[in-house]
Amino acid sequence: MDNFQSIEDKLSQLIPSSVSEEGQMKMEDTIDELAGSSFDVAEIATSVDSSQDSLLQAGTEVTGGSSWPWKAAAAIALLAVPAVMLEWGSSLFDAVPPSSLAVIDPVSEALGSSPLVVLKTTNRVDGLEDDGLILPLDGSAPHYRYRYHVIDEERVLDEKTGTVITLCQPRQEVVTVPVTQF
Amino acid sequence: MATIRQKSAIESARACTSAWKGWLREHSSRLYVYARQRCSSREDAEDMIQDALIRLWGYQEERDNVPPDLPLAYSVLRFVAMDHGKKQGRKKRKEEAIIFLHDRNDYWLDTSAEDDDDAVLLRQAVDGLGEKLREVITLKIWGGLTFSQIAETMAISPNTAASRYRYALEQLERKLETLKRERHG
Repeated sequence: MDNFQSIEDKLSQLIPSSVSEEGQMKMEDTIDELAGSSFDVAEIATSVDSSQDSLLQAGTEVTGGSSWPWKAAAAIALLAVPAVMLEWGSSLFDAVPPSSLAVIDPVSEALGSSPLVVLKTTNRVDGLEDDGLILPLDGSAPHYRYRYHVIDEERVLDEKTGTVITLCQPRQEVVTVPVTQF
Repeated sequence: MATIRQKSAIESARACTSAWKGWLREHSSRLYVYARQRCSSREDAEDMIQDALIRLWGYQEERDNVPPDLPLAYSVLRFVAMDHGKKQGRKKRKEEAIIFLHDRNDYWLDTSAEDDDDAVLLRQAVDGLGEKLREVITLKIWGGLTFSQIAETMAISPNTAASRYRYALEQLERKLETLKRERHG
């Protein structure tokens, strides 16, 4: 190849263009997303006990420094469910009332002392199923039943690595409205 | 309570993300040069790298999620590029081939470091190479691969890779002379 040394040298001096800054960021975001999906969210979510006590314990541990967004988000989502259930009786399609989001605060505050920062929390109603009038066989009061498909979404920034993780937790909520007039 | 296993998984995930981002920063330019010479626009090239990244991630999940070696990355990128080409359809590809030759201003950095006549002519000569030859030149000169790695990437023998490279250099040299003669009348 010695004959071609001069042309090889000239070629080496040519500078092709490179990935744009935007492209590079997009690719790094892809890596974050891939890492997020590879990590077993379900494993941590199921490891958090469904009782309130266990959830609070999980929240405390986040404060303790062994935090990770999956765990916090699982706790947040599970804490939010009963609160939302209580608050939603009257307004069917309203966004989640601020008072129910307040339940999230202890965990969010806990995250504040860790390298994780909650960027955004949303609860989105994705659909509604109307089960109609329910007449319970046990003789209790008749009621209308609605099923909501809700998606809780949480964006968390890991300040240590700059990783932004989006956690989505789909869930279904059942709201009953007692029949007061016939 | 997070178990030791979960904590260790968290640490692994962080290490893995950081390793991949480091790998990407180190090699994205090389991968881009390769992708760009196989498609008609910067956006397509970046999309191709992104697709390749997703596939590579899938492959490497079975290998402790370590970033891939370059020949594998190029092989996957090559496969993605072929797939991309197929999807375009014959007619569109013909149209793009025309654009490809005329729309390569963003292929090279317009740098004053190359501010000599030979560099300009050489860029034209590289653009004028056939696809297979340009591919080998790209992988060798800007991709930094050895002939055996090029062979692995392109699924050819190392001898074929070396002879294509030699042939490409010969063509470039001839083309350069012709262009110089044309320029100087």
